[in-house]
Amino acid sequence: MNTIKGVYIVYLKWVLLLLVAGLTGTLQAQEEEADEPEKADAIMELRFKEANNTAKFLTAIVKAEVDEFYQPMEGVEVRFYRKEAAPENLIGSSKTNAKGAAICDLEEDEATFFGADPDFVYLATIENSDTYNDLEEMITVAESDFSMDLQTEDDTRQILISLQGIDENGEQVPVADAEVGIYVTRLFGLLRVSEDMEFTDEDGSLLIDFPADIPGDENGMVTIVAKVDEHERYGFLELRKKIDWGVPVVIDQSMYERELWSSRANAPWYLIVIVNAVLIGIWGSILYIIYEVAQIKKIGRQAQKA
Amino acid sequence: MKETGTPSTGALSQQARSISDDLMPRPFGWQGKIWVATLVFIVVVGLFFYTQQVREGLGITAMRDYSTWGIYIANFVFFVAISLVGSLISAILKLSGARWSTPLTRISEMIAVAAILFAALVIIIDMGRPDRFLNVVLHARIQSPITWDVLVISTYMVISILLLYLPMLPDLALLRDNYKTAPAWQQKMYRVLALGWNNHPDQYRILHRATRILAIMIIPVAFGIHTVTSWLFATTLRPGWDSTNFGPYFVSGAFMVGAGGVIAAMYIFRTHYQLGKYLTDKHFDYMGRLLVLLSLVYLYFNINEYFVPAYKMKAQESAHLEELFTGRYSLLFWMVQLAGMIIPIIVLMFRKGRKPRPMFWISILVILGAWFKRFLIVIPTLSHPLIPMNRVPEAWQHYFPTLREWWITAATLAGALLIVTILARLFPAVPVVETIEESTEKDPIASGNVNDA
Repeated sequence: MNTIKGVYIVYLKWVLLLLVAGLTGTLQAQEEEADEPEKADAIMELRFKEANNTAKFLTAIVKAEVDEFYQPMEGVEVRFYRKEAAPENLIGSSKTNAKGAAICDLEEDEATFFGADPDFVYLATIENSDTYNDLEEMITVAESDFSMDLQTEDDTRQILISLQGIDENGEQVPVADAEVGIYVTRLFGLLRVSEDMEFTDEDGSLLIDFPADIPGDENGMVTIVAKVDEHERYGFLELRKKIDWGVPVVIDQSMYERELWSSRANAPWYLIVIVNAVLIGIWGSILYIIYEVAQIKKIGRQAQKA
Repeated sequence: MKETGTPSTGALSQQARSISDDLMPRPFGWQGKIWVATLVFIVVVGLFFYTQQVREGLGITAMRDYSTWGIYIANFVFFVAISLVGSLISAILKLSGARWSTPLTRISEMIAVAAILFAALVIIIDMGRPDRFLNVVLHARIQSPITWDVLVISTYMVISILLLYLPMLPDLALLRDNYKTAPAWQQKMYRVLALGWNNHPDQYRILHRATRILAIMIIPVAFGIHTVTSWLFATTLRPGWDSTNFGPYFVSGAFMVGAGGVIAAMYIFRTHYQLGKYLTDKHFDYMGRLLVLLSLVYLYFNINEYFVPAYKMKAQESAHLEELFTGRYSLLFWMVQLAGMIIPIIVLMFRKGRKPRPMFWISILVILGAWFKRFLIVIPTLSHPLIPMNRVPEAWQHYFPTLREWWITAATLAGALLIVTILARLFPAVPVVETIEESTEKDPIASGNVNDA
């Protein structure tokens, strides 16, 4: 009987031990699962931009799905490489801003990094992020020469655009059929000058008349912007030039004068004087009355003493 | 107020004692307690909803892109209007030598102080971010009527408090010396507030001069406060507000509702504190005549305000006026015009209509009419902006206050009544010393010679 009891107790101990071990293992597995939250998938768009044929930079725009819509993600670290994603090819890294854009400046003469190869390959990666799965995006671009000449012929103001690029064979060729947008800068953005889409001809050239009725600044100065957006080989190109082709504007100074509709700092003198005179008159009288009330108390105290 | 022959702060003559006993503040009876409990309940519920408003923002109200002002602002205009009663009774009637108004001065000043305090409070309630109230002062544009309104309301509030307090000094001394049954804290309060008043001729001289300065000063300030309030509307180009008539229109309406407020309070004090000897039928008769005069003046400005634009029917004005005359607000509009102005004028033209009880009900009509009149001034105009708004839900184009807005508004009205009730509980609602002084002279009311008085 005792033997049976002893076996039973040993059996129970083993069962309990197994239960505890199993439970601990399950809990640990759950904790490990909790420690490693699922990472999200992000998408990335990589752009090559060049301004005034000198400033070159890469822009990586990172988005992720939030509430069924892709939204720009801020604070994501993006690494930029030339040729391939290897440490020796790293250009630099930067974090995305509120618009989801991480920007990386490039050298003015990028050809030195690619030798005789006319195609410049760039990569942007998200690596070892706590939030997003690893991601890599690549673009291939080539050098280009984008120019804008401003000329006047028979009282007509004209913008002459020329776009030349390096082809797959390393030869400089005119870039035909590239869509070019001509704009002028306004206070909150760009105003397109031409209504229709404009394309370069077989010589890579484009001639556009500049309207005579575009308002400029006080001196008639306008900043003309020529843009090639999203060219499949040359990326985003932009040129800016300032010239006195605008209609000089006469700025309404009334907001800066002492008028009723001006800011508080420019209140009319007559109003300041009248309001303050009334306030001083009335509040002076009120203070005088409060002083008189104090006199009533003083007289009462003196009479009490007497 | 005389410098000699006034009841001493010590022993009182038998007649003076009788008057003093009649006019001394009294503890609440059961009716008073129910009244106070009801007011406190409304205030507490309103405060509860106001905390929700502070937490959740003005979204809990029905105010949206169209009606950016709602019943809070209508209520504010009403409070400013009724506060003008202080200047009407304490200043205009007093300075014009109408001594029959003496028993009414304290009541009118109590109403004025309570109303102007709540007018200021309602503005803060209407602010989505009350914590930024100081910015109105710190970053004030002197060109803005809102700045002028803040200045003139605070000035009027101080003058009204002084005009309530200063003439009460002899009464406070009387309470200090004779109201020994009052609780200790109340006696201490009288002692502090009495400022050592002991009927010294110099004290009377100073008091007389100070109250006269205040009485003169409060008249332009009173005209200013409601004119500036009207300019909050009239300086905009909106239909219904774009009027050169608005200043006098508001001021005359304010005096009318102020008179109505005093009449209602007179009746309540007369019946609940048995003050029939002091607030006599004659007082009601004179106030009735005054109310008829003020109502006629207001009627005149109403005709100007509505008839002239209706004659021209400019495109922008027509939608607004049609909405008032025959549209959505027509029932309220005609009720306000009839019950709040025409019926009072007709009833009060008859001697029987100027008896206390009918006068009380007429004054209630006037007060209700005045409140809804402010509603009609503020809200319908906002439904017709000169530049229509795009992408605004249909529901936002019409305004009807939410339940919580009604409660918060009711709480401000209850709060103002509570202040008047507490003031009348602590201080004599009818000036004691002045009544004793006048009782020794020829009674202008009894003689029926008001001009002489």
